[in-house]
This record gives sequence, structure tokens and C-alpha cells, in this order.
Amino acid sequence: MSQVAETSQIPEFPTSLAWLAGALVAVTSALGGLTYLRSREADRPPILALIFIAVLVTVTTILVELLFIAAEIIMLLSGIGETPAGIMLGLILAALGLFLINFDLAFVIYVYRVASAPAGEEVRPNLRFWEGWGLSLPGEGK
Amino acid sequence: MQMTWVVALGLALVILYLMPLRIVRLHRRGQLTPRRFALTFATGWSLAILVVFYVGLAETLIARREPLLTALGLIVAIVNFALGYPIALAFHERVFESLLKRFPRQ
Repeated sequence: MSQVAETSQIPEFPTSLAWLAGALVAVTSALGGLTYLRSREADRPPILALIFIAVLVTVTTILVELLFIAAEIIMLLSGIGETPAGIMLGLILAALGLFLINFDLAFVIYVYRVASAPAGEEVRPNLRFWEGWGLSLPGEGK
Repeated sequence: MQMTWVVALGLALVILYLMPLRIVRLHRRGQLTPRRFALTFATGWSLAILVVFYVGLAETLIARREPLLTALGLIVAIVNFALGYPIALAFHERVFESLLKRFPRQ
């Protein structure tokens, strides 16, 4: 068994934590899907439900990021993290953390856009950060 | 893609990369307590969110001039800190303690 594999064998690892993270992801996905059960495209999901889902998304992303941190710490403590390959893996894990931040902020901005858009205007989630997650500049339109 | 996004993502990447390095350094010095671990994680995570929001969206925030949108980044960072700190404390107790015990402090 390699040093990293050996290090990652955590005795008494709370499997309930993994189940909790999985359950959170499932509940968040199900609730997120339910908000799209609308009669018309222009109908808005209830804002309180969206805020509740945003909090669930935040808790889930924090839990997943902590698992990334655990992976990076395992690499660093076993000496792999200081090699060029380990540094590259660490940067990849940091980039995955950026993806989580992008998802969290995209959802929060979506909630903001739903709350602030004029009645009847269709609002869709936008994951593209380079488009400001769907936030338009004045005069730019949608 | 705008230059602000390149800067924002670069800065956030560095913050996220340095966070575990600092945790390991504190552990090696024997200074890593559960509270310090949680504080390091929650601060790094919230700081990365602040950087992505305010640096990345700088042009949009200046152009739109909406107080709620401007405050939103701060609100999201505070919520992430408030949720991240207790979750990281629990994570340290349940996962990291047994992991770190396997590595003697240097």
C-alpha cells in the first residue's frame, strides 16, 4: 500500500458524515428541482424556499470543501504534497474549491435576481461567472 | 473573459491552496487547536468568496450601484463564516484528530 493510501486509512472514520453529506446533496437537489415545478416559465419560485435552498447549498459546499482540505492535508503530511506532482494535485483541489464557490455564488445571485427582477420577466439560473452569473450591466438588457 | 475575473480567480486559488499549507504548518509547530483549525478554514473560505465576488464583479457592481447587491458579497461571506466555523470544529473533532494523531509534530 502506498504512503498516501496508508495515510488516508483513518481509523474510526465517521461514516455517518459521508451519509450526511450525501443526504444533504440529495435533499438540496430535490428541493432545487421542486422549485422549477411552475405552471409558466415566468412564474417565480417562492423566495423563502430559494433562501432555504441557498443555505443548504452553502452547508453542502462547506462539507465538500472540508473533504478537499482533508485530501490536501493527507498529501502534505505524507510528503507527496511537496513534490511537483503533489503541488499540481493541490492546485487541482484548490480549483475544485473554486468551482464550489462559483456554484454557491451563482445560486445566491440567482436568488437575488429572482427577488429583484420585474414581474413577468423570466429569470433562469446562470453558472457562467464571466457573465456575472446573469447580472446585466445597465443598458445591456438580458 | 475580463481581467478582473483572471485576478479574482488567481487570488482565490492562491488562498484555497495556502489554507491547508497553513493548517499543516500549525500542526507541525504544535499550535493547531480545534478553534485555530476552524478559524483558519472559515477565514480562508470566506476570504476566497469575498475576493471572487468583489474583484470579479467589480465592473458590474460599479455600473449597477445597487446597495443590496453591493452588500450581498459581505452577507454571503458572513453566512459562510458563521456556518463554516462550527462545521469545521465538528469536522476537526470527528475526522482530523484521528488523522493528525498519526503524524508526530516536528
